[in-house]
Amino acid sequence: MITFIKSKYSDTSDGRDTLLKITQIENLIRPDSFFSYLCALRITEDMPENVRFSQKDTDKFLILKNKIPWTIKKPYIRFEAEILPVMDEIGYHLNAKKTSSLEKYNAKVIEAERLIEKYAEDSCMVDPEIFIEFHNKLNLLKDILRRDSYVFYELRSDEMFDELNRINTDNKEKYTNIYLVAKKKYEVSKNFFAKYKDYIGPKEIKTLQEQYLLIDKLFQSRRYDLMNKAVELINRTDSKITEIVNAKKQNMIINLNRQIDKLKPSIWLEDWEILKKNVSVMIKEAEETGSLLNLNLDR
Amino acid sequence: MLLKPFSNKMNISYKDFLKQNYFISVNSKGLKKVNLKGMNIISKACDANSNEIKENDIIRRSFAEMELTPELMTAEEKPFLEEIITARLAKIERNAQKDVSFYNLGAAFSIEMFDIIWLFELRSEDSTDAVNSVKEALRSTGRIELFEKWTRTAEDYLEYLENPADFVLLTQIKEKTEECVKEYEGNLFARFLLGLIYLKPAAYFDLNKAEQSIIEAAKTAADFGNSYLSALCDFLMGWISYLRSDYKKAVEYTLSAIDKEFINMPELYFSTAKYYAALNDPENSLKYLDEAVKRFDFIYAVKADVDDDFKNIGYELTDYFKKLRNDKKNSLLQKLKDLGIEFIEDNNVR
Repeated sequence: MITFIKSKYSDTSDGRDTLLKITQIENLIRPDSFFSYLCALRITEDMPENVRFSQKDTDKFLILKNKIPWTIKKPYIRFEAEILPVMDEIGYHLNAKKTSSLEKYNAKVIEAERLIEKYAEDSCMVDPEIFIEFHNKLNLLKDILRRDSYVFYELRSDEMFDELNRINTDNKEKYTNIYLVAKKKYEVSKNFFAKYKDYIGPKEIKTLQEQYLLIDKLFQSRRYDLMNKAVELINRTDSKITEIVNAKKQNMIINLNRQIDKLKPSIWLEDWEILKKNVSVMIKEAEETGSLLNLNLDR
Repeated sequence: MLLKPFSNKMNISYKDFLKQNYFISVNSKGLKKVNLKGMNIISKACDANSNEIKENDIIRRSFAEMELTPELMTAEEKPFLEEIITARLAKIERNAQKDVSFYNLGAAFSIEMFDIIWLFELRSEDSTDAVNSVKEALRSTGRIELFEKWTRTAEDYLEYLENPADFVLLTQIKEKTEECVKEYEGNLFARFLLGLIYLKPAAYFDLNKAEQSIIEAAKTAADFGNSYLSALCDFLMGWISYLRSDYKKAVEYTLSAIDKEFINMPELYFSTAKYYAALNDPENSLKYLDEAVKRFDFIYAVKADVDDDFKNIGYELTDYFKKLRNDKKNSLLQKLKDLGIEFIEDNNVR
């Protein structure tokens, strides 16, 4: 049986039109005969495709526009020249829901997101607030270029450029000293976690993974002011891992020593002493490196 | 406001032009242009032969009312420029750096303000040495009271500049200044002031007498080794020569002032450019205009655009404005490029 979620189509005039047609289809297919389906099919041919555009899909365009809220105007920088036709196409698909497909729309949304992300990374303008502030200021400089008069250049260009330069310099500093440092720390932390994951219990892994999800969210925001919070969480997570690993290490050392002692009555004393000595070296190395891996006798 | 400079091409005598363009000193600190009612009051008080000035007689001088070369500026920029000029004229701080001076006024300077600005400058620390040299000369000959007399006369003149309708005061100042000169021929400042009084559009207006006084002031200034006043004399002599349509002589005077390495008066460079333009010599005219624009004040480009004498070299002037614009634009684009911002080639800025 086909089930329609009718509430999805009631918020626009197109949606209401669709809802009417869905009701017609439901009535037609009720007898469950060949002809009833044939008649229903004729109605579906006339159905607008927007039945597949949910509010969530529509919102994607809005979210994208919020990422680049400045008016894109000439002269374009390469990023603007690349993103503009993509945004136009997304807007076109959204406006022409009846004839456009959601697949094409979504593909273009992804393309736009990639372009924005790549440009932000390449230009080191990862913080959305600074990214927008920089381009708003750049637009003011474009106004000067479009006006193209000597006096306007003299009156405004130096001041505008200095503003732009200031934003750029501040950003570079924050990008290098805050964002990159936090990012590197995060990578190191994730590697640390991956390395010792096998020695951590499932309950603790879940807690740590939740922490990493929080850190991920902070990184996704790309806001410099949240990077300190991210670093704080990373430090806390690293400490937790270290604490778990140390406890695990101590247990392993105790167990190892216990196992070695158990072996004493069963093997030649000289062999036991060699074994005991080797295990002591392994424990010492583990103490020095802080690594549990050398204590893993299965390796 | 940025004012169109007087030009011999204007259909008005210089004296009548001055009558339409009184500036008054405001509390000895700033400048203000007199309105139509004020012009008539002053003219009537200072010159009995004056005819009443009517609204329609007034020569429009504000750059804001004029059509300018588009490469130079568009109408939208006029208010911004107006703001800058107004601020320069209204500066009231007593800080030497911010004082109203020939240098700080730049292109906002207009010849009718000359005496006000000169007296302001005379009070500044920069002029202390020059004033003291006259004071010392009088003290050493036991005639210090003559210096005090001159100082009072200069103060009176500043007071007159606050109320130019006070013809009685002007007459007293003229007489006292003449006495100062008579009592001490080496009083270069008094000689110079006398020249300025003859250039006021009052009953005493007389270009010949003004010229004579300034020539004598120049000689005395040279004797004292006072290059500041010497250059100012050359500047005024250049102006008087221009008014007599002797443009070659005008150029000689301003070049002489520049040679004295008196660089704190950007108007000297603009005037030289103006006189060369009057001589229809675009190469030299643009050379000095460029100096005024790049070394001192970019607004001189606008001043040249509204000055009738520069119409002689209109074609070359437009090309110069285009070059100024393109240079500035390219410098901006290069700075943006250095910042990592490059505009793609296939979209024109316009």
